[in-house]
Amino acid sequence: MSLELQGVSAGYGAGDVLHEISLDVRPGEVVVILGANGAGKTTLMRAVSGVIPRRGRILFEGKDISRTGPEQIVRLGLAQVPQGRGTFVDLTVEENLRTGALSRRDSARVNEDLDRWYTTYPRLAERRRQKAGLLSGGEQQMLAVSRAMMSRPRLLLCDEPSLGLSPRLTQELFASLRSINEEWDMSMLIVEQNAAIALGIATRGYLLEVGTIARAGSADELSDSDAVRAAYLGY
Amino acid sequence: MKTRLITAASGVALLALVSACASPSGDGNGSSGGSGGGGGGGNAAQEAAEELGIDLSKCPTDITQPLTGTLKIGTPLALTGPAAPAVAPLGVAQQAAVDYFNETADLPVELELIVKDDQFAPDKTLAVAQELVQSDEVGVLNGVVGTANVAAAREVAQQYCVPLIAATSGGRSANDPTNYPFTVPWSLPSYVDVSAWVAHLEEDFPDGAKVAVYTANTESGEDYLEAIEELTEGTNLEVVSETTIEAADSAPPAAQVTTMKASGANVLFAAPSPTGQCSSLMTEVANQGWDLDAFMLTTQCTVLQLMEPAGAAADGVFASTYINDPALDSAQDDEGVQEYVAAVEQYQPGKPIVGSTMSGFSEIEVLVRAIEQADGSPLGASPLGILYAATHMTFQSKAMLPGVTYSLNYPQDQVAMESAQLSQFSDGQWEKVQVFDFNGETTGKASIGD
Amino acid sequence: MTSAKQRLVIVEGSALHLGLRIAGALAIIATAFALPYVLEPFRLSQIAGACVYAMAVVGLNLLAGFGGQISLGHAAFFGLGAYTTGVLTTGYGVDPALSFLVGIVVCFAVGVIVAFPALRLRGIYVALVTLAVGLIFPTLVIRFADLTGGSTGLFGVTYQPPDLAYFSGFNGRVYWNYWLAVAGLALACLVVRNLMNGRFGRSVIALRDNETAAVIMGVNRTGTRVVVFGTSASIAGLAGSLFAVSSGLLTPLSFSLLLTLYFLAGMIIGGASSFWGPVLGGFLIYFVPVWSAELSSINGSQNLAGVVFGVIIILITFFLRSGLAGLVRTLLGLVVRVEPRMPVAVPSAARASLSEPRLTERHHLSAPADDRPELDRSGVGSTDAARNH
Ligand SMILES: Nc1ncnc2c1ncn2[C@@H]1O[C@H](COP(=O)(O)OP(=O)(O)OP(=O)(O)O)[C@@H](O)[C@H]1O
Ligand SMILES: [Mg+2]
Repeated sequence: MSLELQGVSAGYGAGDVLHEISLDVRPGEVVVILGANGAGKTTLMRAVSGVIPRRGRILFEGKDISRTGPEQIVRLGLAQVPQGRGTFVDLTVEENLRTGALSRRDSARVNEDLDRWYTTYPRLAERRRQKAGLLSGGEQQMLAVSRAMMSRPRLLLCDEPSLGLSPRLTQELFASLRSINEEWDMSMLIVEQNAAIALGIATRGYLLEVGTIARAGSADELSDSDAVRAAYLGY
Repeated sequence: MKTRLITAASGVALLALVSACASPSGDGNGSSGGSGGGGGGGNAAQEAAEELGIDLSKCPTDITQPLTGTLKIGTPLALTGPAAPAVAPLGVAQQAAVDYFNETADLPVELELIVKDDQFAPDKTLAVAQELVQSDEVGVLNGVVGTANVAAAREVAQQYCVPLIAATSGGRSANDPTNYPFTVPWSLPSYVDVSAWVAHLEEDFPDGAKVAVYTANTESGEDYLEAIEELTEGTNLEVVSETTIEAADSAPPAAQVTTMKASGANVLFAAPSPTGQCSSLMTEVANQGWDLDAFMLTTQCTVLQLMEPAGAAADGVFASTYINDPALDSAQDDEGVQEYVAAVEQYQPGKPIVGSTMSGFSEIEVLVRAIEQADGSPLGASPLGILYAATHMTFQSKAMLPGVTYSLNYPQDQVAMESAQLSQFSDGQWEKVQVFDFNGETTGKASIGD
Repeated sequence: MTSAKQRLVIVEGSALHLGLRIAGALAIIATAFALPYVLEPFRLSQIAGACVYAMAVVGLNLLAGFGGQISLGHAAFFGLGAYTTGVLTTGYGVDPALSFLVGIVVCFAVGVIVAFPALRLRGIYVALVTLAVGLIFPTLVIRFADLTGGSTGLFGVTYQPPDLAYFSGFNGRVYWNYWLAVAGLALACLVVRNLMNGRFGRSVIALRDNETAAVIMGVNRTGTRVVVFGTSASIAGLAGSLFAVSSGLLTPLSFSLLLTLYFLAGMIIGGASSFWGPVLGGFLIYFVPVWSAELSSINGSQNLAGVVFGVIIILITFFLRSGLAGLVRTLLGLVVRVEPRMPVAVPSAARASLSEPRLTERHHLSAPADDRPELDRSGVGSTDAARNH
């Protein structure tokens, strides 16, 4: 099992936002999390990556990380594309990418990976010495994905990667994510509002409602479910 | 990385190169010895220097040569900043005094005053004093105000062998002729101030009194406290309460007055910070209905501007003064004061005449008298001669109160101002009570050294 | 790109680029060595004073500029270093050099202690915690008057120059204090530069730009902030130690909140989070009051320094966000352009279509040029920022 949550609760002090969440991601699998605004999707991501305190068991590749700090979790091989991209606006594009590789000491391989992402996203290569804050929204999204990938994770958490992207860019991004998944054999847990496209590349999915898992199933099952269709697919 | 290495290497190389060469321009300024002794004074100069504890060979210039032409006087003074309103009028009076004495006194040199702003910050006093000596090439420093500021300026005076005359600080540490022979302080030392209180009370209270002591948490306040403890020792004045106030505290000292009143004291010795705490103490004592038999206040509070805000609460308070205040009724028909007031009005028209005007004026007068005395001495009006005269001189400025003198005779008498006019406040005026004179008695007590 | 034709184009890392940088460094070093020969000693003392202020500003810039955490207590660290040296050398006969080290360590420790509550706090709250430190310090100095000389001050702090011909002249101590200050400033600049160039520096700026994202990327928030706070405080402390030996006397008044505000003004005027800006700013906050004092006389004085700073700061906030350093950079940019070296291999035609979903070897995703205006108009950045906090 790549990731396994057993009865995880978390919140921001005032009270729990997540209540006893259990879910899992198998190796190589793309799992999507759907849910309304405020359902707790971002909170879930934060709980997994250790940014907020949480209770319950979180197993990453069999190891309990529910008491591990975020910088340690990155080192274990779990990376995240935060919602809103989290661009470091005053760092250059390249420095942003290097921040992604903060946990790595193999600088030669880091440079190789840099070239790799520059090749994948030539727009970033052209702007590598520019302040990342000057990138367009789509470019920043490319940067966020590449930056997360710079840590060479085995599990990637993606929080609404399509946010603010045109339909066309969204398409391309998901295609890219899918190929990363296949080429690197990397597990992914993706939060997405655009259910149609997310379910297109996912094997399974969960529906989060007010901090609890309301439904779970394969991508096809969820696509067929009335609840998901009404709320997220619009047909 | 490469750049850094090269930079570092070139830096080291340059350093090595330069340290191999001689030292910069400084040599020209005279690290060399033996410049002394060749001047006008000859043996007399050598003896005078030895008596003052000055090593002429360490001086960058020959201070035994009589001055001619123009003598530049440098004064670091707070012209801006919070202390400026209190201190800046000194500069106005000094300038007027310089113009006045250039015209009226028979001096071998023409005086020129250069006042530079030190914002009352000691580190700036140091910088300004350096600039005055090095760049403006003043021959004398004069009238630095404040203990810490004097302590800063005297380092420059010492290094460059420039006399610092009329250094205005009553603090004991400011008067250290053994280590700083070039610095000659004046103004009423706290030790002398307290001596007058004690002398007066011993006469007035033969059966003794209980004393409450109230001091600011400053150098001056601590000086007072020390003097009070020492001088009441062995008298029948018993210190029953000691309270302090932070220098910057501007609130009424309610808690302190309550404590002192509760101690059963019938006499108060008070040395608050003159910047804002004089009147608040008097007002608070009156408000709490503390019926004192005697209220002794530091001389630092005596200018009328500081007394007036207390109104009727100031009535009956005792304090010593040494400089006349042009605002006093008694000063209106004092010819000396009126002469100086007229001089300030003539040379600095439109400038307000305040309590410190006479202080500034007489600070220059001290220097003028010293130049006059030096001119007639075997040493001549050389920097050394002026310094020697200033430390071996008795005179009474027209700005000083009758009976109060400036009197120094190193090494026996190292405290300039040892007499005080004790007065009592009444109806907005100081009424004279008695002059106390401790001439020659306080050396080593109001000064450091022996 | 078009105007690049009129400008001198320098390729980064080329011999020319390296040569110019070395020439610049040598010019600075040569100036430092020349000044004692051309300036009057008091001017040299002023330069030393300015270097000391510049050091403190450089230290503050590490915390407030690069780190984004405003400190209102830097005068306290400055004072702590000054009093450590003052008390140890005058009271206990400790070697000044050793007292510098003690000051650095003490300031680092106090900086770290202050950093801990400040860690969980942001913006205005960090300012408040440090403000408390800044306000308490002068009071403590007065409280422990036996040790510090209280409000009277501590006198006679000196550092005897080493026994070299260079320092043996009448003005030897002036030269010695000057070189101490110059070396201190150089050290502070190198420390900040080395910290900020590289992994650690990226972490510092990442934390400032987006704390959550930085933590997610694996930035050690506690460690980074503690090192930044501690280093910044100890640079200020060393500056204070040098201030102590060059001014010779210390009073609590010298380390008031006003001094912190001057440091902050220096940082902003010079250019926050730049390497050279704070040095310029430090010289400015030293020399503007000196000039204004030189303009004042007994016949009417205003404290021009305050007015000058006020005007400059207003001008800078409206027209020159990145301060003097930014201005210099812009002006230089008119004549010189430093071209980055291009990455090793960027295929220029790497824009394969993504309509084929299964790309195997390399995956290319690039926004077609005609998509950009749409992205720009969508205002993604601002809405995201709003959502994330
Ligand atoms: N930093 C925070 N402090 C306090 N409460 C928060 C914080 N972040 C989120 N919340 C609350 O937690 C709940 C879940 O928020 P979360 O961001 O996880 O929602 P989401 O499912 O990601 O929504 P969206 O689709 O809009 O991103 C919301 O009610 C929100 O108000
Ligand atoms: Mg969310």
